[in-house]
Formats: sequence, structure tokens, C-alpha cells
Amino acid sequence: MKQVERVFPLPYYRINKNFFIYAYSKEACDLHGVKEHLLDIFDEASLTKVKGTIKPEIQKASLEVHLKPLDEEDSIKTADMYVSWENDLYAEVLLHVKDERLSKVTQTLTQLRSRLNDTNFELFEEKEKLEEAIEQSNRLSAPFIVLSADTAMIPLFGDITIEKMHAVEDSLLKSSQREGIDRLLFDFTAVGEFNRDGIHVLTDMMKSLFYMGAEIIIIGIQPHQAKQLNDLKLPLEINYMHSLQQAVAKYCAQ
Amino acid sequence: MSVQHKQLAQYFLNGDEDGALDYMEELVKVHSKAFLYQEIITPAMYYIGELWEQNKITVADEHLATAICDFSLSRLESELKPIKGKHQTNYKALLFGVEDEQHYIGLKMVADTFKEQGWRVRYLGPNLSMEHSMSQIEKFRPDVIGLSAALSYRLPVLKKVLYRFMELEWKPLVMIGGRMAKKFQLDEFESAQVMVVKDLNHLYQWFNEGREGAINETS
Ligand code: B12
Repeated sequence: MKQVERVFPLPYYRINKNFFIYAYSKEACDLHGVKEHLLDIFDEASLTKVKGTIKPEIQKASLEVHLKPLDEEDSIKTADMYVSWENDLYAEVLLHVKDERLSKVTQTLTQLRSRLNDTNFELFEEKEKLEEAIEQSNRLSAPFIVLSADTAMIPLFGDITIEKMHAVEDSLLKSSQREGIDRLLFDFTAVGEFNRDGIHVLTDMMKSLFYMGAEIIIIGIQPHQAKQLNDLKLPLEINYMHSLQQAVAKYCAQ
Repeated sequence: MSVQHKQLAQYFLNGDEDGALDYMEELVKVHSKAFLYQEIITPAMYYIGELWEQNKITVADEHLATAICDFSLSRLESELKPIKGKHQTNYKALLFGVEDEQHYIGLKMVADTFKEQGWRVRYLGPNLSMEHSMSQIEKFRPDVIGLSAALSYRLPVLKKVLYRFMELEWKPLVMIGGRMAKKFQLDEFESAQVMVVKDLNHLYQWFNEGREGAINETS
């Protein structure tokens, strides 16, 4: 193995088909020290590629490879490699490390990406806050108000959505188990739109309450809403009342 | 043999984000997202690695493909997810790639998988320094910390962060994933608090059966 002078200021090797190094340039030595074997300079995940491409059957080849880091501080480098076989036994190999240009592109991309991720992250945090606010407002949109010893009122607010109904379901079922309450007035006066899935959950909830023994009264419902409710086959015993005033007069006058 | 992943890889390599997104959208109409991630997108990226090994593409192409893949994933995620008022669970996961690690596509899919399972997720991206990750972890107090590493040279860093995370008083479960978890025997790291995850199927399996006892419900 000997060091040789080359015209081009690039790492150069002369190897045999077993990758044994016969000669190398000064630049090669600067790059990766003195090695016996060319395979010793590559990253392990580049070896299949190198072995598959550098063989006498492929007379001239150019390929991209990764070079092993020199030590723990160093990082893996990408290089272009040019190979030319003199004959079946020996090949000349030139390396061109392209890290500088490449790492500039990589860095720029990384910065862009991390800025995007930060933005994404901020958006995501805002979204989570929003979700919490929505959940909070959902939970508050069906308060349980005890009117008298046996009667409670549940005024519903806003659109009837599935998320909202899930948010109030638990506490409603629990509250209505309270001792003595056996009449529930659902007030629809402030309700906006019905959402199919939402109304399903609501009517299921009403059915459960009904079968658990509560008397259910629906108040302030619009005609088109009543129709939608009816399509869902609520128990016949559910009563409807026009206004809250009526209901209070009837059930809470003592 | 399915060729869908090769088709998708082609869209990535051509820089065709519309093509890639359309293709993915068609696939999620008939398949689960889990299938898309595990059986199409992941193999598509591995296939890109094979093309590089066959000297058919360069690292520059890989960069382009990654950007398109990343973009399509983000779009797909935002399209399929309306803002809801409720999380299904109160579990929290924080995910990131260790210092100097630039491979993050896998982690991104993992982040979305956790979200789909109803978790609160902090995805901090790749190449995160120890101080940075520690401060986020202290603030967020996740039940699971997920790390990803592809490069074999990341082993020392990985060890370092693992030991730090094991000292956290609320004892989060630390998951190690990525190419390294696939390729190398990392068994020596595994313990009650550390889990090596080979792929998404493994993660799903954990969601379905293995979670009890691994993290505490109350945190
Ligand atoms: C695309 C790619 C890139 C992209 C990275 C984009 C990205 N994906 O994030 C770019 C171009 C930026 C890149 C850069 C580099 N790369 Co690269 N890259 C690849 C390639 C082709 C595919 C990687 C990929 O996207 N896989 C797809 C994902 C989805 O798979 P995955 O990471 O395994 O993730 C799955 C599971 O593991 C799991 N998972 C992952 N993380 C986690 C975490 C948790 C918590 C859990 C539960 C699960 C989990 O979920 C995923 C879902 O399926 C691989 C080849 C290969 N076969 O891996 C090379 C490869 C990994 N890269 C390599 C190299 C050398 C590099 C560079 C050093 C040089 C270069 N090529 O420029 C730089 C590294 C820079 C740095 N400091 O990190 C080598 C690594 C060699 C080694 N010794 O380790 C490989 C093997 C190519 C090769 N044959 O040489 N690369």
C-alpha cells in the first residue's frame, strides 16, 4: 500500500476486487486515515450498495454512499463515489464528499420543518384549549335545577349534539337518582338545532329515566322538533307542555 | 404481492403531493388508517431506501419524498379529524426524536395513532436536546414518553436519556421505536418501565391488551 500524488485534489484509492487498498492519495488519508480495506470507511447500511455496485462486471459506476463517522463527535457523511475498472482485477475510486452543500439544504429544511412543527404545536394547543372550552360549555348546557321536593327542571341550551349529550349524560342520570325527585321537566325553549346522533342519545337517556320511574315532561318544544322526537318512538306516557310557566303552575304550586 | 406502496413511493419521489394525497384518501375509504400507515406508507418509505441502495435515487430524492410524505400525512390527519369537545381518555403521551436524529416520519404516524386512541399528545418533532425534552416533560407529565431513533450511532444518546427518564418520580412508561428498535437487539433496555416497540402492530397490540398496570390511571 502506498501514497500517490494525483492530479485532482480528491480522495483517491486503487483497489482490487476484494476492496483491498493498493494505493491512496493524501486527501484519502486526510478523510479517513490509512485503511487496508475500502469497506472500512463506509457506514454499515451502505455496504450492500457498495458491494452490489463495485464489481468488475460494472466497468464504470457512480454512486452515493455514506461514510462512517470517525469518532463519537463526528457525524455520518454523504459522498459521491466514482469507480472505474482498469481490468478485472483493479479499480480506481474517487470520492467527493458533498456534505457541505447537502447539510446546508438539510439544515434549511430542518429549520422550516421545526418552524412548521412549532406553529402546528401552537395551533394544537389552541385547539386543545378550544376543546376544553367546548367540553366545559357542553357540561353546563343542561343544568339540573331542583324546583320542589319531587320536581326538577333541566333546561337545555343550544344545539343538541352527541358530544354535548355525552357530556351531560352522567351527571343527569346521577342527579335524577336523588331522593324524592320523581318528575323531570326537560325545557327545550333555548334549544337550537337537533343533531341526529345527539337526539338519539337524549331520547335514550329519557327512556332510561322513564323506565327508572320518573315522570318526564317536555316543555317548550317547537312543532318540527316534536316531529323529530316522535320519530324516535319515545314512550307514550311522556307529557308535553307548551310553556315553562304552565308547568311550574301545575307542578310547583303549593 | 401488493404494489400499492410502490405506487405511493412514486408519488412521493415525483414531488406530486396532490397525487399522493388523493391516493391515500382513496385507500382510507376502504382500509383503516392503521393499515395505511403500517402496510402502505411505512413500506413506501422503506422501498425508497431500497431504491437508494440500488443506486436508482439519491439522498436529494429522499428529501423530496420525505417532504411530500410529511405534507400528505398532515393533510390527511387534519381532514379526518373534526374538533370535538371530548377526549376519550385522560392519558398523555409525549413523543420526540433524540438529539441529532432527523428521521421522524414514523414518529409522526405514531403521534397520530395515539391521538386516534383518544390520548392527549405532544409531538415535539425530531432532533430534540435533552434540556428541551426534560422541560417539556416536567410541564406535561406524560404517562408515556415515546422516543424514536433510526441511526445506529444514536445508541449512546438513547441510553443517556433513558436513564434520565427512569428517574422521573411519576414513573412514566418509556417506549423506544424506530429503525433502531427493529434492527438491533435492544432487549437489555427493557424493563417494567421501558418498552421496545418494533412496529405499529406491536403498538396496537399494546393498546388492546397490554396497557393495564403499565401506567397508572390516576396521573
Ligand atoms: C427517508 C430517509 C431519510 C430522510 C428522513 C426522513 C424521515 N423518514 O423522517 C432524510 C433524507 C432526511 C434522511 C436523512 C439521513 N439518513 Co436516512 N433514511 C431514510 C429511509 C430511506 C427511510 C426512513 C423512513 O422514513 N422510514 C419509514 C418509517 C415510517 O419507518 P420507521 O422509522 O421504522 O417507523 C416505524 C416503526 O419503527 C415505528 N416507530 C418509529 N418511531 C417510533 C417511536 C415510538 C415511540 C413507537 C412506539 C414506534 C415507532 O413506527 C413507524 C410506523 O411504521 C431509511 C432507509 C430505511 N430502510 O430505513 C434511511 C436511513 C435510515 N438513513 C440513513 C442515513 C445514513 C441518513 C443520513 C445520516 C444521511 C443521509 N441519507 O442524508 C441522514 C441522517 C440525518 C440525521 N442526523 O438524522 C441510513 C442509516 C444508517 C445507519 N447506520 O443507521 C438508512 C438506513 C439508509 C441507508 N441504507 O444508508 N433519511
